[in-house]
Amino acid sequence: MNRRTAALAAVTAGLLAAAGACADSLVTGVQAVRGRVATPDRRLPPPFRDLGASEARDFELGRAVFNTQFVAEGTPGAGRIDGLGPLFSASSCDACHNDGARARGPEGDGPAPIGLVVQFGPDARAGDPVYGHTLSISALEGWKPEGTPYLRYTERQGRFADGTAWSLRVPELAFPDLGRGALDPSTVIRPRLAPAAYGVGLLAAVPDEAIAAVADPADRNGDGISGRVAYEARPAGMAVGRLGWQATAVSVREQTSRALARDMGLSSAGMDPRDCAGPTTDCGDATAGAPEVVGELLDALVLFQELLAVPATGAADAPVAGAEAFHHLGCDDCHRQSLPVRLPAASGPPVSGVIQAYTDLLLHDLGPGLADRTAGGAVTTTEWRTAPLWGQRAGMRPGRTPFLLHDGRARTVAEAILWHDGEAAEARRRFERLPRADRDTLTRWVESL
Amino acid sequence: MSTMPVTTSYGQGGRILAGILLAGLLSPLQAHAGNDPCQGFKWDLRREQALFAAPAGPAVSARSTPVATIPTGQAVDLVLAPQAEVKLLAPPGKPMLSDGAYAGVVMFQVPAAGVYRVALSLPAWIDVLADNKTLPSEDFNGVPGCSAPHKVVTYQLPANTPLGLQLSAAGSANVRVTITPAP
Repeated sequence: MNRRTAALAAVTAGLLAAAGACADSLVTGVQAVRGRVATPDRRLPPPFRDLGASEARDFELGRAVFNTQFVAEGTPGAGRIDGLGPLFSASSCDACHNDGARARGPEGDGPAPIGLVVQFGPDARAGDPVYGHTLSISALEGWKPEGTPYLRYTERQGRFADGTAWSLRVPELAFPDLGRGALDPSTVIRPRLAPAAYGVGLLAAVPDEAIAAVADPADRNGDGISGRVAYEARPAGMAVGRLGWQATAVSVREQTSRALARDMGLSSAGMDPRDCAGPTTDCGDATAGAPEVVGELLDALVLFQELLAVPATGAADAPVAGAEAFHHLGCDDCHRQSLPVRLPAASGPPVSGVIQAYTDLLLHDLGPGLADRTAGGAVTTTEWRTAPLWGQRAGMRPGRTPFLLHDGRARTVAEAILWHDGEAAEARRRFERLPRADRDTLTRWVESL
Repeated sequence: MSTMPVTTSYGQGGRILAGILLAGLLSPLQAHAGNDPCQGFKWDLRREQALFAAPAGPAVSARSTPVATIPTGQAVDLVLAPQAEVKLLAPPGKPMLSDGAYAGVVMFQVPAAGVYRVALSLPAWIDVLADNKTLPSEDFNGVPGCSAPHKVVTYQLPANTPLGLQLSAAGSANVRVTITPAP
């Protein structure tokens, strides 16, 4: 705690800077670059920097691709937008990442919402031997969806140290109408709420060495935090995973191609959309010839996401004590305020700067409560990438539940904190010991980011 | 195909059940299985669903000239035109590729100010305009695999004001629409 106290002044100063004068300039350094941008029309999220004419055209083309609802192959006149399915979860990127934001989560018991995709493991590379990587909930006419995931929640009650009651909803998933037989008992069931698209380009611009520099997989400093880099094997060698709930994607392009294939049944740049192991006639036809999302559209789609700004923060209006509590509790041991970035410049050398994303992009053990399980019941990996906290404010809309964590189970920031365990258990216990007013101050500050 | 359902509880303290469901435990979940996907809406859409199930009047052309006026509180079948041939009242609020897409424009009015639902039978982008300016939507809901309706968007509408209903990026020329006050 002494180390924590000693560092408080400097960290608080940094947090205040983030919340104050620099609120709309999250990338600073060698060359100041506008970062977070106010979004007057949420349907038209802007880029985080000024674009040249050609780049602006590509950005707008990418926006149109992101919003487009793809249609079945052979649809008359469909031109560039056919090839959907035949099995799919959504017909557009925007259907899940509405306006570039994270998906709406499940309100309660019943069919999982479209933005909560059920992926199958054991990991991002290998799925269920029959159903592949994703349970396709929709199908073109003449085809049968693979099934519908249903959710049911039970409430788990508890109390803070001051006696205030809390309740967490514990999800249960069922697949009562699987169309092609039972899941393999070893298949890992991975419900994943579509995360926000904005900011991914900035996260992708964090140098590998900067992520590795804050890793401490063996907990050599003895602080109980042992984040590790999500190394991913790729044909060109090991790469640093950084995108997705478990950092299984190494780039925006990879994440995008994967989602087009597995969630929409669209081939692009070498990604085959057939996502099951049964006969071809059951899985969907193979893509013969050119990819369904041609290179020009894929490039624009990737560019659009890489340049999407994170919505402006409101931390300047939130109580400073919230930022201080965030540090006192140890939240910023993983949700690090700042990371360096190296952004390509229109001309000349890359631009160096700093983003305030409140993540370390490392994998941390958060305990069995959040862990995925196999169809046979075994607890699998308990590691999650530290979720970036920037953009929280954009998800806090009056009258709407924000749906936090990988499956949207948490209905408030406080609930999300209470789900933290494993390496974050001590931070959670400190939170539980806070008086109510301090808890509220902290959560209001997080909501403002 | 009849299969053994699988259920998994992946929350803290949760249990996993694979194979045959325990009697009673999952009956609320099982009750959904095989149901009409239109039951997946989170809103009470009984009024819209009844209107979509009832016969509509003669189809209305939604070509932009001349602009037709449609009634509210009942189902109307619109015939859209290729989007490139339609003079839109304003650029679509959400840009999309329009390859092979259909679009259309009609006018309507509501008798009392308030929140109204615009429901469609197929995927299409909806803009509601006053004085050719897009009104912000308040909320939306939709269910894959359902066409009666497929999607519903809510708007705060002014009373007795000519309003434009502009549909774009539709995959078909034929769409059923209802405009009803939100309950």
